[in-house]
Amino acid sequence: MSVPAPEPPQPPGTRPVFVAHATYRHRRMRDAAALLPILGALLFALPLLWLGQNGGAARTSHVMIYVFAVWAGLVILSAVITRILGSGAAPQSATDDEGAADTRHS
Amino acid sequence: MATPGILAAVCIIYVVFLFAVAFAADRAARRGRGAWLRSPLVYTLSLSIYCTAWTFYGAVGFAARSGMEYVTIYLGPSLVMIGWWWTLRKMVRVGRSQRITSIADMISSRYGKSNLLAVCVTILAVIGTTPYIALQLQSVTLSFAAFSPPGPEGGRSVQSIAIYVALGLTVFTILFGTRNLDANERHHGVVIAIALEAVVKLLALLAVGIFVVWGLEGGLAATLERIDASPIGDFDVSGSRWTALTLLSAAAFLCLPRMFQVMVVENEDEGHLRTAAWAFPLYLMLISLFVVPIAAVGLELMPTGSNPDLYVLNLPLLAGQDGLAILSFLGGFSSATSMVIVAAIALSTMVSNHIVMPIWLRATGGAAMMSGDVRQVALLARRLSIGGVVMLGYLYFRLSGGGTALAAIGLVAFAGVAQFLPALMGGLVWRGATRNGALAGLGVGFALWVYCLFLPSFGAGVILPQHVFDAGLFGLTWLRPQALFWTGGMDPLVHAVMWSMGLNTAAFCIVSILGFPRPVERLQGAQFVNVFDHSQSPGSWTGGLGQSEDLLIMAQRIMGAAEAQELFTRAARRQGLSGYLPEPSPEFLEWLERRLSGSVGAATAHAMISQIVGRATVSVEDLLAVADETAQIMEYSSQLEAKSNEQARTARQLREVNEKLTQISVQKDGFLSQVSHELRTPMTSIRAFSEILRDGGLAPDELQKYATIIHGESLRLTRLLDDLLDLSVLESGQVVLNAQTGTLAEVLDRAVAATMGSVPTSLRILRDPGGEDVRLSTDMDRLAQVFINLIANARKYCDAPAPTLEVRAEVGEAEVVIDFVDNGTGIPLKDEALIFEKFSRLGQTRAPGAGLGLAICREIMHRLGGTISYLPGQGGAAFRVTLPHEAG
Repeated sequence: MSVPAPEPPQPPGTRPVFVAHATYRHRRMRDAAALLPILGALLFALPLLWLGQNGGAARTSHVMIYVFAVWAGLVILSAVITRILGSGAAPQSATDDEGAADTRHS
Repeated sequence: MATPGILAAVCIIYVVFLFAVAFAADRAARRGRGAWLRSPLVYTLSLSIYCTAWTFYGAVGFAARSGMEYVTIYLGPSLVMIGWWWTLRKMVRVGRSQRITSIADMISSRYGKSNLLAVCVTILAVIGTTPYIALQLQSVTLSFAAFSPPGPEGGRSVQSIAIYVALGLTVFTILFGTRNLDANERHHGVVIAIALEAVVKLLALLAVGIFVVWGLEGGLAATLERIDASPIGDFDVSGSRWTALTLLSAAAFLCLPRMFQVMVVENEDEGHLRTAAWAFPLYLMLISLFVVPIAAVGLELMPTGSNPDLYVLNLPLLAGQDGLAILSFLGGFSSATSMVIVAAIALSTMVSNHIVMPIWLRATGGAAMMSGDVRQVALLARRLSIGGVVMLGYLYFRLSGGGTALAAIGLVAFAGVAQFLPALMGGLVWRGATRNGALAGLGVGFALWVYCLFLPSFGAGVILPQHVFDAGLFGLTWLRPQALFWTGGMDPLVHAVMWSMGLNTAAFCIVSILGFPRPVERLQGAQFVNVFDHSQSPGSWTGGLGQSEDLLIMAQRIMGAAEAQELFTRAARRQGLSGYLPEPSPEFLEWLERRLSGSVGAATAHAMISQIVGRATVSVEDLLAVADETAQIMEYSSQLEAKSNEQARTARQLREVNEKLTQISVQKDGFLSQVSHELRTPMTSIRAFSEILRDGGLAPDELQKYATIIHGESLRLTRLLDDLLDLSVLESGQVVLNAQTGTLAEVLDRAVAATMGSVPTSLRILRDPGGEDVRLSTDMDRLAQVFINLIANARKYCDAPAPTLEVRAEVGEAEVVIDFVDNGTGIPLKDEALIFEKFSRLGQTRAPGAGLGLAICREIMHRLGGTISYLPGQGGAAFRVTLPHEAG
């Protein structure tokens, strides 16, 4: 997993401290989209720490049910987050880092 | 029991169906119909080529050997997809904005369009993919064998299946994969066929799973019990392998050439990623859902010693479910074929763009511009590469004998392509990454991969002798391939991945930090890393002297005549010009380069354009040095602004100076390019006609005609040079003025005689004899030159039906004012400021001339102590000349 893309360089003082409610919500959804894979990775690694009933290994069937449940949960969360992100409800302000329209002429 | 004959028939029907679907999709797309071809669902399904025959057959085999561990291969990509916001979004944006054609193109583009890097990546990709293609052929062969009766004859006929499959795949890929040259365009036929195959393989695996759980086992609870009772019932997965495999599969998902092809190159719309972000993990989840149950039941029911890779096929066969077995066979067949098709397209693009085309261009040298058709060569190269790639896979399959367990080859190949990751991701997030760093990282990583994983994967004693395993290379114990630097006791795969990726990243970072990138690398680095900030890139071409015609010739060779002409006409129209040839402005050149790079790759396109325009232009390096300095000045002044008032004032001054300098520099550049342009036009025709004369064999009247043209053009050239000389003498103040005395009327008489005498003209001149009777003491010749110019301008540009020029003279207190007013349409307000500038000719000029006349007039009047200005609001073009009134 890579480092996040750095925020675009902004001239000092031009970035508003307060943004509209919808924009704020949209940005937090972006944060959620970025954090989701980290949550997933941690949850998927969890069975490695499990112990079986008699101190032995955990059962494959339990791990299987757990992994697929987490997987399904991630799919649902991802669908919800991307749905909100894609609904375009957030007004794209000039300082938004994806607000730059592609003005190239090709 | 289904025989191989029935199976072959089913196969052929299925393949014909796929051809038909691909053909229909291609046709619909070309006619502009079929918006559904571009839906996010199709995009998501096309991503499923990640699931090859290795998934279809191998996952069950993997699970039968090591339990839940197989799931890591699908967890990694799921996490990457769920984390699309981090990496994929940027990769797709960069891929679209730079018109990337392959992963080699991406890496080479990022590191200054370096073809060396592209060649390295291509070769590594071919080495990493060939075993994988072999694996697909092997799986098809094995699955055929499962249906055929045991015996030597059946075995032999099954062996020949591989060659038919390879040939069929080559034909399909060439038909639908090289339909258009621009590799950046979408292959709708291929994509839709893959999407269809994705559905088939998912349905087949789900069907087998449901049959096993509810048909063979009698329910979920029973199956779970069976799993826990089976040899894989204990979850004893080592943490390091679990983590390493997850990371490895995530890395491979990003780096596999075929994944890059469908994910970035074939991407229609960035928005599709949003759907794929949840739909693709869902697909992966469904496809791996029944793997463990099938493995557990297979271990229980199948005779010991049977190949666990084929449980998916053999369980239905064992239960006598022939229909299900055939469906399952089609699923595996789909997985294998779709992988081979996309991998062949991706690799052939890389091989032809980065290896064949550069070699061909170099071999033919300048002749490439004169004869031959680059377009045909590129298409042929791509087709041959497809055949070559598939055949290479087939050869590997035949030579390796197809003995190794499927999953093992898969992981080895994954680890190989994962070596691209540091260069790829580093290039996207770190501006300091350099070409040398990328080369070093790739070299180190790949060497370690070959030594620690690839060669040992053939087994001890096959390529690497046993004593190397035991005592290390050259007897150095720290060089043992599975215990580098004395780090034993590890799983060989984890060991190889850890060392190759670790040292790859380290070499990449260290060399990048210590080195200094070339300007093009820095430019591309900024564009890749900050792709979301600026959609426009700084110009890297300066096209003052670039030749549109040569560019058009080249573009026609590459894209085909009609398309190139249409493109150039469009560009010309955008610049406000008519005809086929746009001005070779930096924007146009850069845009053209990007278009061409979609066909032949970034490095080649860059080289081709620089071959044409690069000679007479400022180098990119120079431009960048200038740009860097300007950027530094701007940064400096903006810092000052933020400080105290006094400093802010200083900053303002700096900025003003900076602007003035920029303006002056722009004017200078404009002047230089104008001069060269003006000198070039007559020179070109002189050169052309003198060449005709030199070649001889002309009729006397033609000789006469051409000599006249040459003479006329030389005169024009001389006139222009005289004007330029005059202007520079005047501007530098070295002119010597001959003070004479005379009346204004005399000067005007001379000027009228000089202009009107030689040529018949309809211009009528109205004079004012009373006002003209004023004595002047000045340089009469120079003053006459100014008047001649003004009258000649009126003659040339006055567009009234009955052109009239009125000359009015008025003697004031301190100065004499002479107005020249004609009855034409005059000069538009916005151009008034320009007319005294050098080389300013307004609008579409009909009359010849370099546009130096008024500039010279202004300089003369300045020297004579007077002025010349444009007088608006006189109903026509009006110029006012004022002179100091001395002698009286």
